Amino acid sequence: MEEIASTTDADQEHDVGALSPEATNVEDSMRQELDTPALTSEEKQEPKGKGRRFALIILGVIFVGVVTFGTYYVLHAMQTKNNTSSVKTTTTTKTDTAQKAPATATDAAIDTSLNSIDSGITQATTDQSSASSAVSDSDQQITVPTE
Amino acid sequence: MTRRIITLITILVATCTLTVPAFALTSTEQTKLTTIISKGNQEIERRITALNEASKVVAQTEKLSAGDKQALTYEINSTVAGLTALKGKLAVDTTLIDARTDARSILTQYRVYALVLPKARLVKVTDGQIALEAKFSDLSTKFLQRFSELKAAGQDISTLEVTLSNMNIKVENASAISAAIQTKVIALQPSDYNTDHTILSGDRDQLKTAHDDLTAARADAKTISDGIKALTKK
Repeated sequence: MEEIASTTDADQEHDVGALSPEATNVEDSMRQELDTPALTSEEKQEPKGKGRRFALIILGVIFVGVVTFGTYYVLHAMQTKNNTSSVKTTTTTKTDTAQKAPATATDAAIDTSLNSIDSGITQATTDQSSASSAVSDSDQQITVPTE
Repeated sequence: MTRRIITLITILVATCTLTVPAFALTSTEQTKLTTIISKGNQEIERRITALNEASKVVAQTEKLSAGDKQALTYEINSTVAGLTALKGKLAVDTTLIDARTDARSILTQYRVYALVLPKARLVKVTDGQIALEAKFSDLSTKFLQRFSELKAAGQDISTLEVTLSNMNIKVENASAISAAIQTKVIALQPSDYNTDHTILSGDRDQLKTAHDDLTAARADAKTISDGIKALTKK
């Protein structure tokens, strides 16, 4: 309270005597300067910290952007590759199919003939074996008494 | 009078001397005769049974000409008839000489096991092979038709054509053997076998060669079929 009182006293003291407006302005300016506390060391460094922070933010944004773009690029590349491969496979299959001839009734007829020939060869083999066995079964087996 | 009696006795002795040995067999000879007749009957029955089976085989032939089939069937049936008659004759033989002669004729006159049955079997083999060769010919025609279709579709069938040519050559070789053997075998008679006991052995070997040719031709046919499938849409 005393301090307040003294300040008030000082103010009153400055008011003593009439000052010109210019002088008043200068005085106000000086008073403002005097009233403004001196900058601390941290306050003096604040602009530098802000710039670094800003730079970090910019770098972060750039980093996120690069990562995002890279991911997008890789995914897009993979997608494109798959699509290309799929297209190629389809194309190849279409080409193979296009190169082959259509099936006809002759194919089935050929299969039927082959099956018939298979059974014929089996029968011929049996007949062949039967004909060969006749060799051992000769007339010489007969035993007619000679005395 | 005395002269008449002497003449009569001489005639009687001569008659007995000539006739008694023909009818009067010793017990040993009678046993032999019975054995020959019994064994001969068994052999005749065995042959007749086999011939009846052979007759069925001949009846099953597909490609044998009607004339050849008829000739072979007639031969089998006449053999059965001859053996049946021989069986009746053998049964009433009263001498060892007759029985032995009849028993031996089972072999020499008929040659059932040595010639007739092998002949029927060989004819069956040739018939089967000729039928098989006809199937190959039919298949060859189908292959050519398919080749034509594949060519029209722009396919390269040059390799398949070479394989088909090889197949046809093998079939032709087999066909030549089958036809020649069939013609030769059908004409053979028991007397031919009596002259040459190895008369059929070469035929069997040749038919085996023909059979091998047909088996190889079948492999070619399979190769062609697979080749066609590889060029055909599924």
